[in-house]
Amino acid sequence: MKKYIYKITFLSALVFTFSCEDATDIVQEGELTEDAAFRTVADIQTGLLGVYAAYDPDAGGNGQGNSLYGNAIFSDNLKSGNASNGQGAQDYNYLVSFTSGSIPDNIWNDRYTTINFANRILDVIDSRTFTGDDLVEVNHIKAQLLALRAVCHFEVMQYFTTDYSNPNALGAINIDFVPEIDDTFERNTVAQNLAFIKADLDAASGLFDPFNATTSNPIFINQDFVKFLRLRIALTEGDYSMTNMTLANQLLADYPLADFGQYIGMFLDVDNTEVIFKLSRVAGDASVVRLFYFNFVGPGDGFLEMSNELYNILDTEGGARRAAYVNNQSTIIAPNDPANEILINKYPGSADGVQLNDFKMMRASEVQLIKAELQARNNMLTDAATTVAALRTARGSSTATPATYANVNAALTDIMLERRKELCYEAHRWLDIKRLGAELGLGLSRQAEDCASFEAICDVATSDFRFTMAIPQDELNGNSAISQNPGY
Amino acid sequence: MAFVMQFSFAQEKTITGTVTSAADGLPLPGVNVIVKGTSRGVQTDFDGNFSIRANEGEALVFSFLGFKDFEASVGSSSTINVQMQEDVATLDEVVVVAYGDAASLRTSTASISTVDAEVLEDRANASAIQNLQGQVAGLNISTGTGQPGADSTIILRGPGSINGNVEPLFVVDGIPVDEDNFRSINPNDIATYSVLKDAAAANIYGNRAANGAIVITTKRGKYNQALKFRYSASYGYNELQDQPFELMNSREILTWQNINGAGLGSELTPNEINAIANQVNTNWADVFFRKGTTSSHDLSISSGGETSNNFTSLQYFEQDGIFIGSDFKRFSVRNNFSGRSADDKFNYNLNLSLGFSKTNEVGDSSGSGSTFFNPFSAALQGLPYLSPFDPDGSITRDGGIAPGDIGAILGRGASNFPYVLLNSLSLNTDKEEEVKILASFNANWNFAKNLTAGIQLGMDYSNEMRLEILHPESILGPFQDRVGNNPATLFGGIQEETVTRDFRFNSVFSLNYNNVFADKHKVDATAFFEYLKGHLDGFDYDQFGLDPRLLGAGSAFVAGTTTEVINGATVNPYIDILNQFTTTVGNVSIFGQFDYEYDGRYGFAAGIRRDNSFRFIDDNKWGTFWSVSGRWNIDAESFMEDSAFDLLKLRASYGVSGNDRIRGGYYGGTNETRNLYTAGTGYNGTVSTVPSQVANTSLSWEETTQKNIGIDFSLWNRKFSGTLDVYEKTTDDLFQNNNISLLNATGGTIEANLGTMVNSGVELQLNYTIYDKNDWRISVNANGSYNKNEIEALPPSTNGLVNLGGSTALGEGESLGSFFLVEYGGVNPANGNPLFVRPDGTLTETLIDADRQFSDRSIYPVYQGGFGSDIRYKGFEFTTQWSFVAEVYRNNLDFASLENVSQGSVENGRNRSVTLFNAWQNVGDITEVPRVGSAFGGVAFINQTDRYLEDASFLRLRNITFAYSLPSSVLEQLPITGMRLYVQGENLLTFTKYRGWDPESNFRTTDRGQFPTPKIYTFGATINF
Repeated sequence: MKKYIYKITFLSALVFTFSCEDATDIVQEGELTEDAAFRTVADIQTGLLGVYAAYDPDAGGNGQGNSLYGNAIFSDNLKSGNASNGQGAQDYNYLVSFTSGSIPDNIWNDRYTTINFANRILDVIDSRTFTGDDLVEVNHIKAQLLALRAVCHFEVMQYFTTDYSNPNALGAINIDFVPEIDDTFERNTVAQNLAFIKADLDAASGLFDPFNATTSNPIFINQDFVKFLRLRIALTEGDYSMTNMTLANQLLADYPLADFGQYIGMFLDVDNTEVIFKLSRVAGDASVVRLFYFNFVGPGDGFLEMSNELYNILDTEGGARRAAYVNNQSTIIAPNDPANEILINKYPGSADGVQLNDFKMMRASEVQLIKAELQARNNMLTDAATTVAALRTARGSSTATPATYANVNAALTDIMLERRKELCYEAHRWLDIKRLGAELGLGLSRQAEDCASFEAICDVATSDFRFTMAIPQDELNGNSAISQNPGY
Repeated sequence: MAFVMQFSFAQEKTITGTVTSAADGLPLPGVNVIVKGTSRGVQTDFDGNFSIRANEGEALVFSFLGFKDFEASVGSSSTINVQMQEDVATLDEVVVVAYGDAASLRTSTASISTVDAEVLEDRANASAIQNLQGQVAGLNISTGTGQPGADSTIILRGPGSINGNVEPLFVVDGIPVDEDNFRSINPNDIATYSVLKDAAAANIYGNRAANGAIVITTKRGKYNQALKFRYSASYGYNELQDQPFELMNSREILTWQNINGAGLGSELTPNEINAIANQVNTNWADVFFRKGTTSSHDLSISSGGETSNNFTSLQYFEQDGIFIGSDFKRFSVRNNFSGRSADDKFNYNLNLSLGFSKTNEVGDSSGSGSTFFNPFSAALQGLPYLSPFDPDGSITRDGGIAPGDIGAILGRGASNFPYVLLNSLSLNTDKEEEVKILASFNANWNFAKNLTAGIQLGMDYSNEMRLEILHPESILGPFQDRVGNNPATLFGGIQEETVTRDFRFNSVFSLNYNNVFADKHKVDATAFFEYLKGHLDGFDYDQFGLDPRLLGAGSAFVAGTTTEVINGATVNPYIDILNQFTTTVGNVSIFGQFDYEYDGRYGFAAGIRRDNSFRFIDDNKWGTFWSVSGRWNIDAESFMEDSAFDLLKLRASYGVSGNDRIRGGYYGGTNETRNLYTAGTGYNGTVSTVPSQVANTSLSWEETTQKNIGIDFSLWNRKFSGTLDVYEKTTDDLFQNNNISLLNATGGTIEANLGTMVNSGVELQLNYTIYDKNDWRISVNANGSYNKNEIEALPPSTNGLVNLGGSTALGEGESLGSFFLVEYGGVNPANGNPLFVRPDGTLTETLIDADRQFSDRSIYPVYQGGFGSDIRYKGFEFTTQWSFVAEVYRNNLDFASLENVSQGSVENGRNRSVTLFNAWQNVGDITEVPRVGSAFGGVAFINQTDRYLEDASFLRLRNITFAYSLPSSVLEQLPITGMRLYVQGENLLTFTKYRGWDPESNFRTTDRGQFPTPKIYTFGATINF
């Protein structure tokens, strides 16, 4: 028996020479927890840079995209390009999809991802105590986070609310915390959204550090971003008060309209005269050009081109916009000829890299037009005409004499046309039709030759349910509390 | 106490003799000769001789596996010669059970199919696993590519998981191995494949065998065996299977373009079209596909002495793919050594295998819609009026296109893309080199009466180096850089290299007790402890900018710091991309197995185990799984004494096993219970800190409960035998994406345990020997299975439907992989537009998601199996093996592209099917093909409609072999002991309705430019000496 005991002891010893923990409690190399991720203010700053990076209205390519693309494809500034294999055909034809990868899904997902990232960093900031220089710097970071959170909420509201002017209409979901995975949310009302957004902007205003190096760099958010955003919000909610006129004038004082050379230079990213805020795009980032071209700006590669209608308007006008937006390798056979190849040149590449351009998100010319609209809304029709004419003059247009507006609607119609020209491919056109067009009874009305390029519908009234985007299917699937918009 | 004396009162003497086989008179080495009722015993030597001391009146028992025991009494003679009879009832009925132990079919309680690899020997497939197709009921092996050496997808008894691993565990000589990599293993080393199907069989492998297990043993030497050599060589060729497409020729496509007003044809007169059509009519498939060769050389050496034996094998195998640029080479060495103590109380085995394989791939971009990177699409859709020849008559390498000439590349709807791909194939590199080592050691020590301790250590090591070079001087070379694919940069080309090392180690300690009580109660109990660890490490880089003069070496790399001025911008076009990864996985298990047999008639087995997974936390970390099974050997009952049954066994099993491979992959989903951050590419070219993972702390085991009832039978001395199994396999707590709000920034989903899926089915395997007399032996075999898969429950948040916008969706009550599409309703005779059928039966021209429906068509087959025949006469053998799958569907995008008539697509640079001449033209035309210029293209039809959803069922002559072995009369005059000559063919015949290159696939939803599997013909010789 003793012999067995020795043997068994020996065998047991053999078994237990193996320790088990290294097979049962495995933590992979490079696992980064929240505590380890944000040790210092410098780490928190990298968190902010992640939030900026998440905000991507100019994302997309090959027939998919976010808000910049959505405003173009859903409206009247595009036609099918020479290289098209059908990119964008369904969206152009208003066969609206809201599944993964669709425009509504991309906008919703991107904005709420940005908000989620921002809320995480805000949580980290709020859970720590900072003093001295650290406090100043952290506040400056916090201000940018709040402004980003505000702009995201605002944009979600713009695309997904049925009616901005109805304070009780459903808008975006207000969220200022990091959700649990099984949380569900109903949308807040427009009034609640606006209150939430303004509270964030108010809070942000008090936190910026005017001496921070990023303050004077238009690729980072500063006080002027907040002012600008307030103006956009004002138009949306119909607040045409003189406070906003003052804001517009302040901004225009600091950011004059670009002259011809500055204007061309701006789209090559070498001039910032009228840039209030732009999203920096550098080597390694996706290029905006991919929304319209497979590989490069040039003949034979554009699957989406400028519509004949917009081209005709720009060509008649001439000047800086014609020069900046239409690539000089375009082929114009005859007005509205189906074989015209009108190459979009708004994102032609820059010193940052071939085919890389910053997205100029907030420009002085938009403030100029907001000012004109505020004037028109306040029945200052002559002033409005002068303001519009000033922009036209700056763009080197031959029609720079102020127009005479018969009434407010005439003024607004002219301002809407001017916005179309000035802000094409900058994520405005569809929203303009939704907001201004609805008021003026101007729906989407594409020129016949343009919609024929896709065999798509030409006219969509603003009363159509598709002028409010659908809550994406992915959100409906994971959020049983949310209401879909009517019609979907 | 050391004084031991043996007293022998009877007269003891030495008995000698020879043991031979009654069938052929040849000596039998290794026969156990035991004096009955004692522990005295010896074994026969090489020549069947033995010598043992015994007393007169005692009896000698001769036993040998596969032969009936023979008993002889010791009389006055001191010589006993024995002729042993083969035991037909037990012969070939060994099943290999878990941990490589052999058991007899008679006593097994589990559902196990064992395939003797002899029937698969010398097949011309690079991968051992491909040969198993159609051999085992319920085992579905599907190969989705014709790339030699490529992985197959293996599903046993239906897909058991939605997102988790669905493939069975593979065990080679006791080592759990990577189920996706068999290219570096020599198929001819394999002795048996055992397919462990039910819970009773596979439960002992626990969490890794929720989908069953395939246990492979390799060949070994035998004790007391003379040195033997076996050499075999084969040579053959392979080619494209018959293709069903009817493509337009030059005249037809140019005329079609002319009629439809776009493309080259629209600019030509009929005479000009004639002139071109008379000169050029290229079938691009002939240019891209080729007849490849296959050759192999195998040498194995085996030998054995009293206490050791050895098996050594060497192989060299090479095979060309049927597509230009693809080939495969392998060199492998194996050594299996066994040793034992003289009293056989201790034995051990060491198995070592080393394989080196080299693959030149082209299949990388198969299935992709990328015009310039999927060569298979070019082979199918290249325009016939483009000539594949250079002016000197040789096959062109560039079609006259200069590198970087964007106009020539993109012109006319990129119709020159076949030239671009020919150019890429001739200049670029895409190869994988792999070293694979499988090593295992096991030892058993019967250290005390009825007690045996065992240890098993195993290691699976693979090192893969993958190199891809996009040649800087190729047509696409100049576009490769970090500044937006700009041909203006001075250098082009990319070199990408990935090095991975995958090391998996496992060890099992066991303690076994077995005993027989009162001659009738046989008990066998084993306790196990298992430890397992896997390490995956690697790195890769992408170098942009290669100096063509130095290509192939690192010195060709243009430094990342190099700047160039492009369009006025100073840029760094050659910044490289670097990546490194390391992942560790592990498992610890404690388990026990208990077997009980009563009187050879009843058996009962039970297993229980505790498994630990590092993938889960808290209470979910340890899972408890178990199985019970029983058998009733009806033929052993007294009332069956005179029946025709050699074997009639009823068995049943029930058990639960767990799966922790959340993401399917061995190294996937390692930390999903934790909230994690990572450093990302930040704004304005900075480093950012962003969330990388949102935790689901409640993740737990996916559990599979399996019930199985089976019958094993054999009649008339094994003339007719078979197995019937009925099973139901229920997977609960499925790993699935649960939908969560997009506000969580996870893209709307998180991995969770939700839902239930059931696979239920029937399997039948039959063997029948039709005739076995007068040197003839004719036998047939067949197997088939029916498997019904049904998703019973999806996450509640999905409302019973997960539609991600593709052609398939998950639906409650539907099978996994079911197509969810709008029914195609033909062509509107009024305007030529395609029509779609809405769920209410009305027709519409508008294609919307809301009209999608399930239609009981899935990517997984409902029926599958195989059958074959084996005819032998003297030295001649003629065997066939067929395999089939039925009720399996696939989207045929290849054909859809050939019928693309969407708006603006006429000049898309691609050829068409002649069926387009049936396209709608005039009001009132009744046709299946919409008008040219209608709204939807091939991709839209595939993604949203069932127009090109085709029945991919097939019946295929998997293998046909004709062989001749030289008779002994000839061999006597030769210095060899055996010689066999054979010719064989793989995939020679296929019957299918599918209109694509190859109805076989790896359960994909869509075929677009895939690498079809080839026909292979080989002839060869095997020599034994």
